[in-house]
Amino acid sequence: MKLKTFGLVALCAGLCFSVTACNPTFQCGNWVFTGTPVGNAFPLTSSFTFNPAGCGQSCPESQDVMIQMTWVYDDNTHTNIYASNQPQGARSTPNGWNIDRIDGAAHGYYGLQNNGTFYSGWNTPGGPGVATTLDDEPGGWGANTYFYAVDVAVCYNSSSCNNKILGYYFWSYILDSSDVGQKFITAPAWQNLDSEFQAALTAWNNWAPTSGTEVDGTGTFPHAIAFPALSDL
Amino acid sequence: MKRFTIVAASLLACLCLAGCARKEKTVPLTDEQNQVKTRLEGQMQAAAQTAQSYHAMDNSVLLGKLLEESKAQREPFNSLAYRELKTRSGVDSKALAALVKDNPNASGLLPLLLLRKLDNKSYLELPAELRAKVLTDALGSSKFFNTWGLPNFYLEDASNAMIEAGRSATPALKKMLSDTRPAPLFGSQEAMLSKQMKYRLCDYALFFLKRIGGTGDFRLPQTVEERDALVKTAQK
Repeated sequence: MKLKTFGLVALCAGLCFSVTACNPTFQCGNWVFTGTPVGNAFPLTSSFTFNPAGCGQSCPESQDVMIQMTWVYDDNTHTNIYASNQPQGARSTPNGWNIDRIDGAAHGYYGLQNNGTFYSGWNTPGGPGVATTLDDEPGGWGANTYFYAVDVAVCYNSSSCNNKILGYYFWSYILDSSDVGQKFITAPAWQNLDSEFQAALTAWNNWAPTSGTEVDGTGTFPHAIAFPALSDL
Repeated sequence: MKRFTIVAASLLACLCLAGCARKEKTVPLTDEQNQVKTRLEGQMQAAAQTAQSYHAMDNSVLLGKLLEESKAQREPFNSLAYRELKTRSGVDSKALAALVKDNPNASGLLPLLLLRKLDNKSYLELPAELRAKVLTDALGSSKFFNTWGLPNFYLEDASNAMIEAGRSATPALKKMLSDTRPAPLFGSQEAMLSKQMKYRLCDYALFFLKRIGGTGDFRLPQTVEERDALVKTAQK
């Protein structure tokens, strides 16, 4: 009798876990992703509109911006590849994910220039009810390349809810065997990617003091700037 | 009745334990999300295995791979052999120098850059003309320019080596001043900026000539017209 009850409880627990496991990552707002590959490039916009009330929060006058991490895979050589020397090694996670910034940028926030302003061609800041929009156009990668990215909306320089993560979004595209871009999957991110993102922040922060001078044409820093601790709202 | 109570309590406890204390919706992944998740995890595993297989190779095998990848115009940071060898001590400098001497053209680029990184003294003992020949050949045959970086933003090791090669590189660079083919970069922000800047091979040549000529802080002008005017002057 006891065994039968135990079996029933275990079955319920298993069923319960498979049905209710919180697989998607935290989201406190809505994502809108648009983009169509052109040749081997993928011009796109990724927008997030923060809805604090939707997750029982109030973040008056907060500003949110984007951080992007990427992972690019060459299916010919079965390895991950990079656009420059900087992200490989210390700036990447052990799995090869890295914060997507060009060499010379001192800040890890996707659109933040060294002079402290956001370049509108890369990221327009948003706020509650106002979308923050990331613009990207990856391109030039060779045939049989898989390009994966996770966009993360975070409160930045805000009087409330500062350094809180508001949501995660996954997008990807593939260069086929003729080096023609094909849209792959774009969807809310899932768990494990949020911990990979934390690992990418850690890698950036460990690397930053050793980066050497960062010059982007708008300002100069003796080395890259570490992120503050960022956590889900 | 007792059993019903236990089961109900278990279900409730399970709901709490499954992370549903959070405020977000707890929906399972879609088939599409599961599909890409599985593929990505498989690729991450494959990448780790590839790195491990290179890690297991001895230096002589890796030097062979390095030359193959150099001939295929792989960037140093995307060459598996380069990535592995740069972390090792005891790489034979003479063997690297011999690879450069046997391949005095673009094919010798990765051995040249690796020698520069691992044993700068031996690198500088190579004739400047040989270093310049390898570097200028590699620049002239580049399809994408990630190996060199993006002037005004960042320079990769190959660009610093070109500037170090000094006047030995000047004649070949001057010839490139008349070559207006595009010099794109692949990447994300790198690709966007290179598209915006519209650099051409002649702009890279101009940049190096100015830096070699002693204008250490030279920056390329923003517009093609301004750059063309400087190219014209440099051609004289």
